[in-house]
Amino acid sequence: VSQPADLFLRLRRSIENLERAVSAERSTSQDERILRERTERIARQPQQVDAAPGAYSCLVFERCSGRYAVRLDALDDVGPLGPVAPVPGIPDAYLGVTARRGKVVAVVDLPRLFGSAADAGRPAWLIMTGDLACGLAADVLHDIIEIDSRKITRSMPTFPALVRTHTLGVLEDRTVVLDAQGLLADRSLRVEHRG
Amino acid sequence: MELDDPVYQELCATLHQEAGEQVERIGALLLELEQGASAERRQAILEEAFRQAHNLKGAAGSLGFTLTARLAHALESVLEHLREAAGASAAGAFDALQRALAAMPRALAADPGATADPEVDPALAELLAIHGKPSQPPGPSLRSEGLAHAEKPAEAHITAAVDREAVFTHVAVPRSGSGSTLISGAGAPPPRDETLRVSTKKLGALMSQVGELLAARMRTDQRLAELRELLLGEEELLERQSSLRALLRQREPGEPNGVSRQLSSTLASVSEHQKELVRRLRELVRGFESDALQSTILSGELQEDIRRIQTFPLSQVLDPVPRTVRNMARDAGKQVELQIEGAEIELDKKVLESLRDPLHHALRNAVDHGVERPEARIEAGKPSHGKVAIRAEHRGESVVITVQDDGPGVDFDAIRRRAIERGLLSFEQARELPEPRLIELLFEPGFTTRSKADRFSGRGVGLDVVRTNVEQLRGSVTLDSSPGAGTTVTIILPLTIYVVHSLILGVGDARFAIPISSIERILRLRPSEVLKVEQSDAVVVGGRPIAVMPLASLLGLPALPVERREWITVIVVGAAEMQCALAVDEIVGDETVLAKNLEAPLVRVKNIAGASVLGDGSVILMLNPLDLLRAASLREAEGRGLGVHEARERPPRLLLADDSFTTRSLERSVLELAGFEVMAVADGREALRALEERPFDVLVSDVDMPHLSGLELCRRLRAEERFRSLPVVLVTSLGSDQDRRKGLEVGADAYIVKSEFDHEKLVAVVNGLIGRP
Repeated sequence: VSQPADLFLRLRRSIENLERAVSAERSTSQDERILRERTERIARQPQQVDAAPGAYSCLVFERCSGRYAVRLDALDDVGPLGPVAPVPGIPDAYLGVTARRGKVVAVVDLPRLFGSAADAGRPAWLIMTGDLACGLAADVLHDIIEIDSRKITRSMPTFPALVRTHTLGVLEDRTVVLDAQGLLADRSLRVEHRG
Repeated sequence: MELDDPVYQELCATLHQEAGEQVERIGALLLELEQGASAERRQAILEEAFRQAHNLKGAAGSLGFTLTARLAHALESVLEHLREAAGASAAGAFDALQRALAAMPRALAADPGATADPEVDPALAELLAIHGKPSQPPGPSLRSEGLAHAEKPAEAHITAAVDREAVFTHVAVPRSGSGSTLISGAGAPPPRDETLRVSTKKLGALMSQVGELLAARMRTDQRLAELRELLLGEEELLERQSSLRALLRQREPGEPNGVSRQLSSTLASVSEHQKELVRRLRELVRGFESDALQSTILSGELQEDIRRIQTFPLSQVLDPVPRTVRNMARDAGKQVELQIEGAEIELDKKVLESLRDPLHHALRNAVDHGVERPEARIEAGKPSHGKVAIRAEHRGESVVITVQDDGPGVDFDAIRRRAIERGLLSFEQARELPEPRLIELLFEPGFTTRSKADRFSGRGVGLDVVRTNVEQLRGSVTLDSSPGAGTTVTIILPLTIYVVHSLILGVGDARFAIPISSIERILRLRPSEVLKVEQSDAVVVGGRPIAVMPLASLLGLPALPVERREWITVIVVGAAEMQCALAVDEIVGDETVLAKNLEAPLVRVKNIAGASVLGDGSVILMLNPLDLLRAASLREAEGRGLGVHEARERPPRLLLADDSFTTRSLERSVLELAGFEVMAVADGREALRALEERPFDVLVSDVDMPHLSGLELCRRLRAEERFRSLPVVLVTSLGSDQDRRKGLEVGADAYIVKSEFDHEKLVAVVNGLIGRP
């Protein structure tokens, strides 16, 4: 049986070790490992909330004063947009390509798909959906909203055919709700030059 | 063992791989036998072929691959029959044996548990007819007897050590998934305890990580450059502080007092601190440089070692070719002699795997469309045997593989007819289209000159597939043909597809990378060296005129006019027989970049081969040299030449700056009369603005003007590289020697005093400066 003095000594050593471990400089990889482990520990499966039938969550964002929303369950990744390299010879809808997590991905500018020719400055965010190496450019990320599909106005006939096909609806605050995955996978956006 | 059992699946995959190798080996042996072998060699060949068939039968039977085992058994029986009847001719059996080998993949696909197959059964019957014995049922199956009774599939190994010789004498890596392929070279297999199995997927992942390491190293270089810049800034600051202290000492040579003393003391203390900072920064830079160098060496070695592990000889793809060509020729009723050179050249595993199909298509074209039937050849005065040659050779960082036949060459009339029939060309266009452009049509999807497709070719899915596959590997494929001289398909492939040594080019604001292997020369030309050949600009390189055009125009980007420049930088890009000089704005440098393919939706972008992520996180696009050459040959930059000749042919543009309306009008009328296109402005500031907006050939300016004087205007122009060669004439009333000297000091080319002004003199001076008679 340990004596109280021994116990005290062991406790003291433990505290010292702990202090050393906390104050020691860690490498980036150690930090990353700790963060990864912590993320895994605190991560939870998304809670199944009782959503109304036909309702779904969307991320609302802005680009060149246009408001758009994309379904949350179709989102793969949202993050800051790095430098964009314009690619000569591809449709105007593309701003160019950028690096995202080591991959080269294409960046689509929604206003250009809607026919706006104005150059609206550099976007700040990249919204990736599905498995495609392609994302949507955004200036500002707004909120996550719940949309009742039965209560929104269907696509507008004045929209260009491509976006009309992939528009889920339009909200009263002029937000265009898009099927981003379908839009980006549309064949008309595919560039496949035959030599 | 259940069909979906992972271990069983693994064994099946291994069987598929092994069977492929065994079939190829037996085929090659039979071909050697067919081409004639000594009695001793004949026996050795039959022994080995028999052993391969026997092993295949055993492995197939143990896994319940009944049909495969039956076919292997029949094969074994015929080989045994030939072996035993030592003097018997095997000639009649070759076709049946080759057909049985050709049916083997089908049997493997139908198994396990298949008993019959419409393609396998005739091959079996044919073999049975030769040896006259019914096929024996194969031995017990692994599925019924369990693993313990299984004939263990041959082990495949890869040496653990990074020893080139050891690795390449006996290496096995799965072609895909979890199976394995045995590639044997000279020498006995190394002992088992020195080897381990590694999947190509894992090696590929390792190579990708090395690529990321390369990117990290590039980032380190960038940080180092930033650190050097910081050091430079601090050193400059230290120098300024020293100058300031010297100035203070000069101003107050005696004992300083009051504010000066305080200032001097503070400065001394700041300087000491600054010195220490600079010293530590220098140490840091030196240490960083040494570490960066070490890391460069180590990562380079690691990259090279992993590349070597993934590199295999071309023979891996070429070994089955003789048998394939033999069968193709036999089916087409032709006689073909195959010649292979350079099979020992080593290529990246992925490149090799992707080369199989293009090579097969190229050979199919050579046999089907190239070589004529024996009777036609004899009629044409050629030997009855046609020749097909595959040659591989190193060229820089690339491998050039040619498939050449000695047939009649491409039928250009047939291409013209087909193009008209398909509505691709009008009659007139077809007649006038040059032969290289007609050849390009052969690469169009679905384009064939055959009126009828057979089971081998004529569907027009050959060359376009070859091009697509090769270009996915950042390679190129071209076809050359001339009547009577046969056809040559040239495939150029990079030795490795992960890292590409590239030249970084500046085109306007954009940067592009182009593989250095595609660049033949880099030239710096004066605009006067650009020739006009009909409607094209050209430069003479090595005694030959080569078309030159701005890279920007080919890419559809705005091209800067070259007429202002003293020098034009061009890169000469070449592939096969095509060459073109591309004018670029700037050569930024060279870098080894990690190449990445663009992915869907940007599946294949014209002129772009891929992209790479640079150290600063930006993306640089990699140009596709062959696309550029193709675009150049199709004159896609037509009407967008260098602009040199246009500049020479139009009247010279003169910018006239003078604040006096009368003088301006007078000089303007004199100069316009002399054939100049004159733009007149009222001061130096307006002159600068005009020069920014459009190019001028010469500037004539007053000296004393509001806002910006002629001298200041001239000084500012000479400070900028683009205006350094612009001829400037100062016309002024300030006629003293000092004024003249000032004018010439700021960089004016001529100085005319208004009091001495005479029209003819002005025109003569201006003409002289722009080289106009």
